[in-house]
Amino acid sequence: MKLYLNGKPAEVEVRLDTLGPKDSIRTDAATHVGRRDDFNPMRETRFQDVRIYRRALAADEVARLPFEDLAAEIVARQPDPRKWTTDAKFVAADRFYLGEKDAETISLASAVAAHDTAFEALTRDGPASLIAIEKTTPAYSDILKRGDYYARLERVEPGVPRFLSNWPAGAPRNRRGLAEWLLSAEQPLMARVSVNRIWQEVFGRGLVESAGDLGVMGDRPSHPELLDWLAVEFRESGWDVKKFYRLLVTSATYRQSASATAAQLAKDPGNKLLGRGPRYRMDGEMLRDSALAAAGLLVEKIGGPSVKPYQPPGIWEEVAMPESNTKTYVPDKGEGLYRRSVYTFWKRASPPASLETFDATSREVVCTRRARTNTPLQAFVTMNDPQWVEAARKLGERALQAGGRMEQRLEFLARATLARPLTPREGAALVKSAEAFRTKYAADPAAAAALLAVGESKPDPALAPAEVAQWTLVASQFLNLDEFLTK
Amino acid sequence: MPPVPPDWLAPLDTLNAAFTRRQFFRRSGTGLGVAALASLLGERALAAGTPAAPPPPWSIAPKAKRAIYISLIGAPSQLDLFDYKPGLANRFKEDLKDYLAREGERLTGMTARQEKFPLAPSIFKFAQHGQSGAWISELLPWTARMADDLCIIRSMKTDAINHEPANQLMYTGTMQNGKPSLGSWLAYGLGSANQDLPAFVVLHAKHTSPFSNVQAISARLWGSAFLPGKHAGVSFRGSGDPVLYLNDAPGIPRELRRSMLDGIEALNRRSYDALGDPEIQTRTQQYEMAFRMQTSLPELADLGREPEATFQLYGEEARVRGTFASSALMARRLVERGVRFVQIFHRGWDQHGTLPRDLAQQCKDVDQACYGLVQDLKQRGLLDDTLVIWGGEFGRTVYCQGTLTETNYGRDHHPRCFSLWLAGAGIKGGTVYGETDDFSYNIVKDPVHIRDLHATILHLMGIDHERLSFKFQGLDQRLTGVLPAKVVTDILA
Repeated sequence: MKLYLNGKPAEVEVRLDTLGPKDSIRTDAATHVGRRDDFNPMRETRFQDVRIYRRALAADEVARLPFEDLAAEIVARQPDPRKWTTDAKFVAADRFYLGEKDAETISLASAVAAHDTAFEALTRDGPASLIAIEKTTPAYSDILKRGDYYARLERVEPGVPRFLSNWPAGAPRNRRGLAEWLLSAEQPLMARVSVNRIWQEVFGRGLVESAGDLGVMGDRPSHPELLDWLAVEFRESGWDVKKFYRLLVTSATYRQSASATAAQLAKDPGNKLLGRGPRYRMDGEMLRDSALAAAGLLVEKIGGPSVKPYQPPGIWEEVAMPESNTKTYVPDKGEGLYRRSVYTFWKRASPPASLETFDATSREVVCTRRARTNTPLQAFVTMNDPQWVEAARKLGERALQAGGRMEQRLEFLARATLARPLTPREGAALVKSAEAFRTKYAADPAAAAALLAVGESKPDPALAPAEVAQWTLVASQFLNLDEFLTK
Repeated sequence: MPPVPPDWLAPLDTLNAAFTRRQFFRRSGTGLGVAALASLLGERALAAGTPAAPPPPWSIAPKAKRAIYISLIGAPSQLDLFDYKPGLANRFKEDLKDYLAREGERLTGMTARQEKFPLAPSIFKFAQHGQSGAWISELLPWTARMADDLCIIRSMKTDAINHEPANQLMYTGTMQNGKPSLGSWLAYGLGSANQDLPAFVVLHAKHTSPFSNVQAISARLWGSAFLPGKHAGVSFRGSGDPVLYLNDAPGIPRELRRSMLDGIEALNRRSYDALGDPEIQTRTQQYEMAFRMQTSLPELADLGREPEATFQLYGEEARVRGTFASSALMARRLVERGVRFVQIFHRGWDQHGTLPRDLAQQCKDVDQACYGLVQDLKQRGLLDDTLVIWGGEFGRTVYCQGTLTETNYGRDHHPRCFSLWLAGAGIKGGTVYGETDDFSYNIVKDPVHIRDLHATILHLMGIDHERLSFKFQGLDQRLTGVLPAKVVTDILA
C-alpha cells in the first residue's frame, strides 16, 4: 500500500494488517470511499476524480497525476480559461501552473515558511495584539423594533445619550471623539464610575453600591460629597490609577480596625457609614494566589499564553461538543500549575471549577460586582483541592525549616499567612491539633506517604515524611482560617 | 477647578418624596429578602436568632414543594413520540416546498438549500393508552403505561430555531445570555427546604448512543446570573466526587479532619471575639456543614443500598453511575431529602439524520427510568407535591432533512410546535392539551408559549410569576419578562 499526497509519496502508518502472505484482498463487500461505515460520513469531503488502473503506476506517473494530467485534460476540453469552472481553475491555474510552473509564485510561496517561522518567534509569548483604526465608512446601527432584526426603524450614528453632557465641539464622531467626551471636564460620570469601582475593590463595597448603575435606578451614594471629591482628585491627578490606590489604602478610613461592637453592627451591619475598616472574603483568584505565595510555589512570571492548573477529569466533557477543541482538560505540568490565577485558561462553558466555587463568573457577560458567598463547597476547595493541599504541604515544609521548636514553626506560619504573631491561647489550640497529627502520622507511614504524594512538586527528601505530613495539616489549618480567607 | 456639584442627584430626591409602587416593592424586597436568602446554607444560622419572616410578596399557596425537570437537549421529535398524525402515512415524500413558502417559515441553514422538502411520516406505530386514550408511540412503551399520570402538551411553542438560544429561552426565560435560570429563580423565591443540600441540584446523565448528534451546554442553563450566586444550580457529578473535592485528600483520616476543624474553630472564635464580624461565625458553620456533608453526600450518592425492587422499577442501568436511570433515581433521593429543584440534562436528541435508529436509542435511555421515577414518587406519596416536567427546547420538522427512504429520515429544527409532558403536583393527569395541524406544523388549538410554561411552573410552586422579581440594571427583572405570560389553568387539577 502506497499513498501519495499531491503526487509526492506520503508516510504510511499501518494500524491494522491481518492479511497473511497467501490471503487475497478479493471480497464481495462493497468498497466505501471516504468512510468506514454509514455512521461517520466525512460530510465535507468531495471527490474530484476516481480512477482504477490495471497496472501499478510508476512514481513519476503518480507525480503528474493530481495536477499535470488533469490540467492537460482541462485545457483539451476547454482551451479558454475564462470559461473554466472554479474547480478547473483551481486545478489547472492555482495548483498546476502557479504551484508547479510559475517561478515567481514558487519562490514567493517558498518564502512563506520563513515568514511563518519569524511570526511564530514574535508571538511565542502570546498572540500579537490587535490595534484599532477607524474605518473610512462611518459605523452605524439600526434601531430594531423590539429587537427584531427584520424590523428596522431608524438609523443611528455614534453619539451619547441626550441627557448626558454634550459631545465635545468639533470632536469626530468616532472612538477618538468618545475618548475626548469621556475625559472632558463637563462629564463627571467617567471619573465617578472609575473611583467608585476602585473604592469597591479596596473597601469591598462601592460608595454607590450598585457599581454598574449610577443612574436614577441605581443605589444612592452613601457619601455623595466624598464621591465627587475623589472623582475630581482622580481626574486632576491626570487619571493616575496607582496614585489613587495609594490615596485609598493610606487613608485613615481604610486603616481603621475592622473590629465592630454589637452596637455598631446593629446600627450599620454593612458598614455603609465606614465606621470601621473593610473586611471581606477575598476573591477566588486572590485566595489561590495568596496560598501559592505563602507556600513559596507562586511563579511570578508575567504574560504569555493561558495555563491549566489542577482540575479533576471529566468536568469539560459533561458539557462539551464531541468535536470541541476544549473537550478534554489536560492540566499542565510544572510552572503552569503555579502561575497567578489571572493566567488560568477560561472555558466559558465551564469556567475553572475551584474559582467558580468562589463566585468567579463565566465571563460571558460583563460583571461589575461579583457576588461574595460563604458556602461549605468553598471549604472543600481550600481543604481538598490538590492545589491547596500541595500549597499546605510546601508551606508545612517551610515551617519545618523555620526552626526546631513547635513555637518557632507556628510563629513562622502565622507570619506567612496572617502577617502577625500568634497569641498564646491561639498557639495552645494549634498545639493540641498538631499533637494529634503527629501521633497519627508517626504510627501510619502509609497515610503520610499518601498525603505527601498530592501535587506534582516533590517533597523535600531531607525532611522526615511523618513530620511533613503533620505540618501539612497545620499549614492547611492556617490556609483555612477565616482570617486568611478574609481581607 | 471646584468640585462638580452633585446636581445629578436632584431627581432622586423628587423620586423619594413620591412613594411609588416600585419603591414599595423595593423596600418590601429588602425587608423580606431574608426568607429568600436563606437558600443554600444560612438557614440554620437564621433559624436560631431570627423570628419567622413573613412570606415574600410573590408567595401564593403552593401545589408543589419540589420539582424535577428532565431536560432533553437537542429536541426530541414530537412527530415520532406524542403528536400522532395518521393522515401523513399516505403522503410519503410529498414535496412541501410550496407549503413552506406560503408559511413564510424561517428555515435553518441546514435545510434552507434543499431542493425538495419531502414529507416524512413517522415510521413508528402509535397506540392509545390509559383512560385518557393518549396517543403515544412505540418508542416510549414505559411512558405509555403511565399515560394517566401525564399531562401531555402538544402545543408548546418557542421563538428560537437553534439550540443555544432555544435552551436559554427554555431554561432562563430569554434567548439572550445573562439571565438567571428557572431553578435559580425557584431557589431565590422559595429558599431551601433542607439544611445539608443546595436548593437546586443539576445532574448530567450520559447518553449511550455513540451516533447521537450532541449539543454543548453550559452553566448558563443553570446559573444564577444576577441573582446571588448561592442560588445557582450545583452540579452533582456523575463520576468522581459527587461534589467537587468532597472527599478528603489522600492520607487525611477522618479523625484528623476533626482535630483540624477544632483548631480552626478555636482560632476563628478568637477572631470573632476580637472583631465581632458575624461572617466569621457563618464560616465556622459552613466548615461544620462541609464536615457533615462528607458523610451525608456519599450516603446520598450510594445507590447500593436501594432494594432490588428499585432497580426493577428504574431499570438495571440505574446501578451504573452517570446513566439516565441512576440520575432519575438520584433525583428521587434528592427531592426526598428536601432539594427544591433537580434538573437532569440528557443530551443527544438532535436527530437531523438517521432518526429512527438514534431516537430509538435516546428513548431507550430514558423511557423506563421516567416511568420508574414517577411511579416511585407515587408509591412514596411524593408525587402529590412533586412536579415532574419532561421535554426539549423545540420540535422537529415534518419534512425530511437529507435523504428520505422508506425506513430512514432525519428532521430539522421546528420552533412552531413541540410536545412536552408534566406530571405530579397540581397537574391534571391523563390530559392531552393543545392540537397541531395535519403536518404537526402550526398549532391550531391552545398554544402554550415557554413563558406560559414558566408562569405555570412558578404558580404550582407557590409563586406569582408577575411578582417574583429582582432589581438589576435599573429594572425589576422577572423570569417571564414583560411579554404576556399566563398560567395554563386548563391543565391544573
